[in-house]
Amino acid sequence: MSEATPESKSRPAPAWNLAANPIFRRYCKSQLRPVSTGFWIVTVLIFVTFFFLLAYIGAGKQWDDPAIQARAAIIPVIIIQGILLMVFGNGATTLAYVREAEEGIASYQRLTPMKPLAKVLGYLFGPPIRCYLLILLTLPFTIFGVVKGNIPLNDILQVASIFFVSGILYHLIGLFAATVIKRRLLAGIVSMGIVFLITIIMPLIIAKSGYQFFTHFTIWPVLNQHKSELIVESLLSQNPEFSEKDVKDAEWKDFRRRRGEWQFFQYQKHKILSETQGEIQFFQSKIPTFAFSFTVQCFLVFTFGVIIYRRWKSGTAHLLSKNFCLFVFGGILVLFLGTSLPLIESGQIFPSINTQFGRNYMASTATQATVTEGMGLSAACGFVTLLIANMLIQTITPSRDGYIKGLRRADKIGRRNPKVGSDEGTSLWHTIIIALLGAAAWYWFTNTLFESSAYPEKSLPSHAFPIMAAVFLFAAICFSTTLQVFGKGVLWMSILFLWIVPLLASGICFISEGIVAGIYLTSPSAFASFFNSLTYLLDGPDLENLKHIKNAFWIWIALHGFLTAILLAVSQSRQAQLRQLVFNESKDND
Amino acid sequence: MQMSGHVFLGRNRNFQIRCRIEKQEQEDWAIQTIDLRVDYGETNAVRGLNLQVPRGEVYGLVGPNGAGKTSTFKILATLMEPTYGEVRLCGIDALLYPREVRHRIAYMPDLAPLPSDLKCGEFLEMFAAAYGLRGKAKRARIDECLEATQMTEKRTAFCKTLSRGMTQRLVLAKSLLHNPELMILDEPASGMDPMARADLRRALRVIADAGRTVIVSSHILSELADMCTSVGLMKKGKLIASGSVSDVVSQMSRPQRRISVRLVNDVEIARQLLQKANHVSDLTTDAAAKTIRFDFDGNEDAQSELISDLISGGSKLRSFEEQQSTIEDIFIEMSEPNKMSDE
Repeated sequence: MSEATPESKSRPAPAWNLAANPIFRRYCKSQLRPVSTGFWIVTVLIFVTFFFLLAYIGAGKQWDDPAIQARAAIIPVIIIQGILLMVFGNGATTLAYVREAEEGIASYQRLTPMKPLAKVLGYLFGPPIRCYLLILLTLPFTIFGVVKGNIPLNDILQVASIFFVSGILYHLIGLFAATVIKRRLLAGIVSMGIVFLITIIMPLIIAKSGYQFFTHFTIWPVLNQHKSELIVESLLSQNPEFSEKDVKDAEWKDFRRRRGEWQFFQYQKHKILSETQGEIQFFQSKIPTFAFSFTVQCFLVFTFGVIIYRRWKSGTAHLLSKNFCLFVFGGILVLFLGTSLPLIESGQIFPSINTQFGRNYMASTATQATVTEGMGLSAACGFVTLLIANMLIQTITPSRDGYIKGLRRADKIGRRNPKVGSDEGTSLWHTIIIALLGAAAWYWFTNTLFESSAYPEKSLPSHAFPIMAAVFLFAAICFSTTLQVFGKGVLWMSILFLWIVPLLASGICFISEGIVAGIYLTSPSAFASFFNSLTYLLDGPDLENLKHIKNAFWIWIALHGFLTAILLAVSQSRQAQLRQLVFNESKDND
Repeated sequence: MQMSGHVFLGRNRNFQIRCRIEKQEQEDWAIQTIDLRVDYGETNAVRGLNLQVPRGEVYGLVGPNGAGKTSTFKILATLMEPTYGEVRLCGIDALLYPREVRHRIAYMPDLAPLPSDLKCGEFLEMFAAAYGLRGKAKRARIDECLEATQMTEKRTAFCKTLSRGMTQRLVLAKSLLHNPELMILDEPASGMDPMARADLRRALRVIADAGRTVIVSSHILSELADMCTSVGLMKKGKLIASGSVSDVVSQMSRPQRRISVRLVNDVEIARQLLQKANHVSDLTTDAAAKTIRFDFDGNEDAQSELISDLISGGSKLRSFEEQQSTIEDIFIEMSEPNKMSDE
């Protein structure tokens, strides 16, 4: 057999050259075979044409303006493009990589000298190539809508860019799920679950805890901003008199129910929305919504990219390195504080003022939130921060086997312990830093909240930070040491029986009017400790059972302080045992 | 020992790596492992493995299941990191520079998988491009590799339609694409019928004749003994013998030789004489075949004396044969618990 020519010994093509990327080209071949691609092209074209015409003709019956008709017709096209990109593209990426991992082809790929970035790009754009082709086929409809509807080019470019970045983010999530989970069905479910969490659960529920920036992981802020601008422009072109109507802020919502005034209500609503949605207040500065969403999504894309890179580099590596974890957590906290603090003074942070549900069901006036709501909001913020902190702590805490491996490596080079920053090193110091960062963010948020004009008579005492730090430290250290010493099974059982079940049981007590018993039942739960600690620090609202809530908080502190001390002692003793085991082993080998 | 990853390379990192690799490439060993250890939790798969394979050798790694062969091969293939130890492949530190090493090695696992949605030619094109082959050179190389593995006519067939033997040959073709200096073949004949095995053996001969270093593990030991220039025996994660096949066999054989005597006349006279003789043990007689077998631990003079005694005692010898231990005998003994010490 002949030797390879000098040309054939050349290096793989650069990572950015997608056309020469072997993984991308491989999927172009397998995903674009004529029969299946033809079937999909025909199906998508039929659907897009149907919904486009339906919207275009339907809008024509209500509006006499072809520009508005075209704008209305573009909406179903964008929805279909979104489904193709987010759902089908995400599924294709996940399933393609899991199938390769199951078949063992992924191992072959790891053995090629391709750069990790080239591999990531290949898997990111290769498997969903059919979806990209189908989206390309729907572009003439979009172009028709843009041209005929006189949609500004800047608007459509911003929406397309955020669509693209979101698509990459969701495909990376698919790749992440496929890298971490080896079973096809489960990886598909987890991948879709994370996308559902990011697009639906986070903006709708978690964002209400102060984590407003979670909505920017989706396309909605940018899409809504431009949608509102276009609606205002369309309505104004049909009804020029709207601009002359002078309506007071408090009155405009009444137009919704007035006969023949629905269009004015929409005009007024979207006018306000387009004014408020155009920019994001980030600490003291204002950032355009598009720039903010783009940056936030790039932050997440970068984080998932790092996770995948690490896992492909070494199959046993932690998802994130310990130091990078601090960077990620710090980044999340900066985004959280930067976006939530400016909303406090205006009252937009309060669900009772800012949401329909809150206005209907939460006791408050239109401009003032209650102390209980403020405490609830702060507690929810602390709770979500702890969840995120524990999620990150879990990724950096070494398993028992991993720790033994680290000890053996350390022993070999004459060290006593694995390096603190290495995957095998103890996560205790990073846990403490994460807990303190979380506590600081929680304190800052709570302090700003109760220093605001909404609560003129309340403020945190000087010893608040140590108390809040203790809550975070005890919860985080108990989590981390239990995981390191006893493993995941014991950890999740402990969380279930110590932190969740008492909370559920207390709920039953509350509705059966056993209020005091219910309060004491919440005492073991870290999740309840956030609210209970604030009751202690702020002397609570005028609750009847203030004394019992304070007692419950002190029980939590005592219990978790004791548990932290015990777990740290057990952890140290286990580490010493393992060190001895490794030392004896190496002595035997010598 | 300097642990991998702890080396500070300064500002001009790429230049320093290149210099270091060029220096390392001059070394004679194709494979060199130093104090290699692999653990799965508390299970110790490989311990203190010091393996040295010179360039151009065809080296067979033999050992029972659980000996640590596959773990060793995965580390050599840069698929796995050891607990500790050093691995140098073609002179390059595989733990520090895995991408450089990957240009020079090919790994073929047992029961090699293929993508079900690609044709054979497309499969090879993907990997040829991954190794930096482009244009005409790529096409020519794919043709050569298909021809070397007798798979040319299957170029447009879907991978999922191939038989087990063809699958292995296609994976072998893929492994040859970038002209690797070192081939790591883990049970390449696993699950194949005798015909397919013969085809694969022929293909491997072509590779070995081209002067590449090959490290191979197999349970078909007669083939290994036939093909390999040297072998290593692994047991419980340790290399217990290494060298040429004959060296390893003599090193690992029992001190007693098994001797088989076939007679023309009745076996009884010879049997009585052998029972009284020195250095003889474990005597078995097959009267129908007129054959006696026994272990003999004397030297060559004692063996010559024994033959004289048998003849003078009235036995008519048809043959006096010393049975040679084969690598297979040693493997079987290794696989039986308590038969052979770990060391």
